[in-house]
Amino acid sequence: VSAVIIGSGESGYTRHPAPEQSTHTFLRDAVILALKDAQLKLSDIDGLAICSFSMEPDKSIDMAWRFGMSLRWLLHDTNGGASGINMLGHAIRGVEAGAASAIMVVAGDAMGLEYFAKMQANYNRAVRDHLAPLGHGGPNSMFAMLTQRQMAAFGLERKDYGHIPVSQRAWAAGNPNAVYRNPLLMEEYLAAEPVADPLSRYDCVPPVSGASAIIVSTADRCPRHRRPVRVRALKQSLNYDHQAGDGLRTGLTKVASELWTTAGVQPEDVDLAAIYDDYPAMVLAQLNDLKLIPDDDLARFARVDIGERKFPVNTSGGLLSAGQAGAGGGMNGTVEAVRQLQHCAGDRQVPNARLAVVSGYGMVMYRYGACVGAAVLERGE
Amino acid sequence: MTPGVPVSRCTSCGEGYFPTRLICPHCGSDAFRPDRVLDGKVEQTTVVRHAAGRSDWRPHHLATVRTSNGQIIIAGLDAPLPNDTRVNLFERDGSLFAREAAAK
Repeated sequence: VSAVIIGSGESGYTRHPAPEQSTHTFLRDAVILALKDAQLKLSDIDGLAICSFSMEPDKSIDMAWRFGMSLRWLLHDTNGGASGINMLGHAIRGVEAGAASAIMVVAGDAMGLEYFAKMQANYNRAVRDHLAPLGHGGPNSMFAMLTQRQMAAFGLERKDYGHIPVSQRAWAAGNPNAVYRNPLLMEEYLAAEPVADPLSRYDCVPPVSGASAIIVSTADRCPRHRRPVRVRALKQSLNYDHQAGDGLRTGLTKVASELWTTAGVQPEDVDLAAIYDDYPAMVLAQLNDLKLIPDDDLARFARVDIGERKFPVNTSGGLLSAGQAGAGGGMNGTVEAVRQLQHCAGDRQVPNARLAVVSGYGMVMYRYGACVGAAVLERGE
Repeated sequence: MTPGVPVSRCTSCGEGYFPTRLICPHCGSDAFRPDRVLDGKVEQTTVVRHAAGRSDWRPHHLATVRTSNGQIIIAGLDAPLPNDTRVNLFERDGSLFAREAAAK
């Protein structure tokens, strides 16, 4: 049995949820839209993988109950920005092992700014005990210092980073689900209010509410007018350096060669990339670790390949424009890559997209993310 | 105020960790003894000027400090310091802080 992705759903993201909207309703909306997209009935779903920080005290089985699903395969993921890739890997193996025939993979959160601040201060014991009492204000400050290290190591300037949010905002204009769709000018980026030096407003991912879902099943379940999306390779690296390094190289360095060998394609073969973009520095770090940036020339890649749209990166607008719906952020790139490869990406469609690379990055345990994964996705026959 | 950073020192291989670990990633031992590292050098600093969901925010100065024993820690600063400043480390109200070391 070969497992594929057959459909996707996004609840729509918002900065300000309506009173009747909650984590549960956003997750439900993504599930309903994914079912509709894949033309499946609720009773066709026999597996559920879910990640949400704010669905507490409910667990995955409680969500199955609320969703009206009877299952034989269940996963409660907690890996935030890396959850999408982790759940996708488990779901593919679950279907291929015969443990389930159609798995709903869903992630999302709804949190007011107050809840968001509380979650950031209690992210884990290290953060609660050693960072929050210092007034670290969430991960912005950690990535501010990481960005300084990257600037020094690779000779980058603030303007180089600006090409990422500016270019992604231009892509977001073609995505009705993106929260921020107005053009962003480089001048605005450079003049923006500082948040944690050297990061300013447009470097920091905006928290939003919403949820995203995909359905993993077999190609025979794919709607007739659609092509399934095949996962050619998927690799992860978790707690790769015990937080003892500088964070400039992610765990992808440990698995990138294996990823491309397993996929049987080269980095230059891919038509688009969906890279986890909590901060512009991490977009460049992951692209470099995935061997997509020649000669470690991060500045040139940002200016030319991203800035001049020679290579499509984060065509949904990325989290920097679409917003980070908590754990839902970990699914954003996968949903976008699936839509591009199914040729359903509307105004932002990359012509003849056939191969995509997707990454997820997250769980800032102390100074930077500990979990990272990537998948090479292909438009199926 | 307590001088130094609390480090858990593996009694088997001698590696020191902050924050504390349950098993030594270097040698696999689960035996640690408490130790303290007193000083280090500033590698980067930042000013946290804004935090989502916090209206009562005032700017905080933070530093990435490499201790003289090799651990990389985040410490609060009472005032901004340039990179490469040699600092003394201390705990205040349960949090780690750094301040410029007196010239030798």
